Amino acid sequence: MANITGTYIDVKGIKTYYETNNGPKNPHGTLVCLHTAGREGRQYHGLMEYFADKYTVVAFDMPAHGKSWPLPGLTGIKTKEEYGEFTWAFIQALGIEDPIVVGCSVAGNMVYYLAENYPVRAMVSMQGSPQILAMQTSYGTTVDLLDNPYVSCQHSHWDFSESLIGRYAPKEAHDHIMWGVCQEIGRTKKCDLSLYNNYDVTGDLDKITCPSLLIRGTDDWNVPDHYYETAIKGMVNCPKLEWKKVEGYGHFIAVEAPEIVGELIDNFLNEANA
Amino acid sequence: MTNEEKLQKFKALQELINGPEADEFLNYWDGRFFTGDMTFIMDNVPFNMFFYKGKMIDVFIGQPSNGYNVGISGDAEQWNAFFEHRNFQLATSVKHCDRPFTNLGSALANRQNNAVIAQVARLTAKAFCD
Repeated sequence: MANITGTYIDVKGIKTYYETNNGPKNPHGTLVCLHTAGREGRQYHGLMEYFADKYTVVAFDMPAHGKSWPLPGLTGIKTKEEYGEFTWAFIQALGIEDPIVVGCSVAGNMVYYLAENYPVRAMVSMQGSPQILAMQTSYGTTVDLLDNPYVSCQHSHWDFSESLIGRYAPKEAHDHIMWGVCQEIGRTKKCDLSLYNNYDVTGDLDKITCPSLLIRGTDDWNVPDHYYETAIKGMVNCPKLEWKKVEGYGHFIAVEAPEIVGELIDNFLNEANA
Repeated sequence: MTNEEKLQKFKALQELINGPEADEFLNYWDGRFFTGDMTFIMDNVPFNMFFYKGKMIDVFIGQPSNGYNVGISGDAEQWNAFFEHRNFQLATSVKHCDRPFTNLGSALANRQNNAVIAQVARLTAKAFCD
C-alpha cells in the first residue's frame, strides 16, 4: 500500500492542499495530477497506489475544491490563463522540475493549454478536448443554475455523473465517484463548467512539443472521438503522440481503472524516453 | 402504436414505479421528493403523470390543468432513439444531440428534478419496450 500523505502549501496566497504517494523519483518525471470539475485530488489515489514503487505522484485540490481554500470572493478559477498560472505556481512551489501533467475532464482539456504554454516534460489528457464552446447555447443556462439557491448542485448532477461511468467500473470506484457528486459545491462547479464549456486552444496546438498521451474511456458519451481527432490534427510538433481507447470505462477513467491508466502511462513514458 | 395503446404502456409504467422499481426510484433517484405533474409529449400528444411524494397517482392524455411543470417533448424518431440508448443526458444534450428533447416547464424546475425525470424516462423505455 502506498504511503499517501497530505499537507498544505501556499500557492499564490491560497492555502492549497495536496497529496503525494511519496513514491521514488523516476528519471521520466514527476506525475502532477489534476482532478475533474467540482472534485478533488483523491481521484488519483488509485494511480498513487499503482505507482507506489515507481513514480512520485502528486495531486492537489484546485482553489475552492476539496480542502483547498477558495480564491478571494469565495470563488474558484474561471479562466484557462488563471488555471495555468496557478498550476504552474504549484509546480514551482513544490520545486518540481520535471512535471508530467495528467488531467481528466476539465483538467484533460487544461493539460493542452499547459503543454502549449509551460515547459512540461510530458502531458496525459484523459477525456479531454482542446475545444468546447457551449456556454453560448442553452447549455449555458444549465451551468448558470448550478449555484441558484433553489437548485441542489448534487441532486441536479446525480444522473449526469451516473451516466458518465463506464460499465466495467468496479462498485468501489462507482461509489467513490457518486460520493464525489455528494460533496460538490455549486459555485465551484459553476466556475469549472464555465471554463470547460468556453474553451478553445486549438490555435496553439502546434506549440505542444512534449510527448503526449491521450486516453479515452469509450463509455463516456460526453467526450466523443471527434474531440480527440481535433486535438491530433493540430498537434503536429509532438515528438511522440498516442491515442489509446479503453473499452468499457468512462469519464472518470483514472478512478474507474487506475491500473489500466497506470500501465498506459508507464509504457508510454518508457517508449518516449527510450 | 395508437395513443390508447401508449396510455396502457404508461399505466404499466405506473405499476412499475409504484411496485418493483419503487425503492430505487424513491431512494436512489430521490423520487420521494417529487410531488406534481410530469409530462412526456410523444408526437404532439401529452401523457401527463401526477406524482405524490414519488408515488405515481394518475396518468392521462392531456395537458396538466396548471400548465407544464416538468417533462420532455419529442417526436417518434426522438423517442425511438431514446428507447434504444436510454441515456437521458444524451437525449437532452444540446452539445451532443442534433435533435434533443425539448424541456417542458421552467429551466429551474427541470434542473431541480433532473435525476427524477431521467429515471422516469428510463422506466418509460422499460415499460414500452421490455
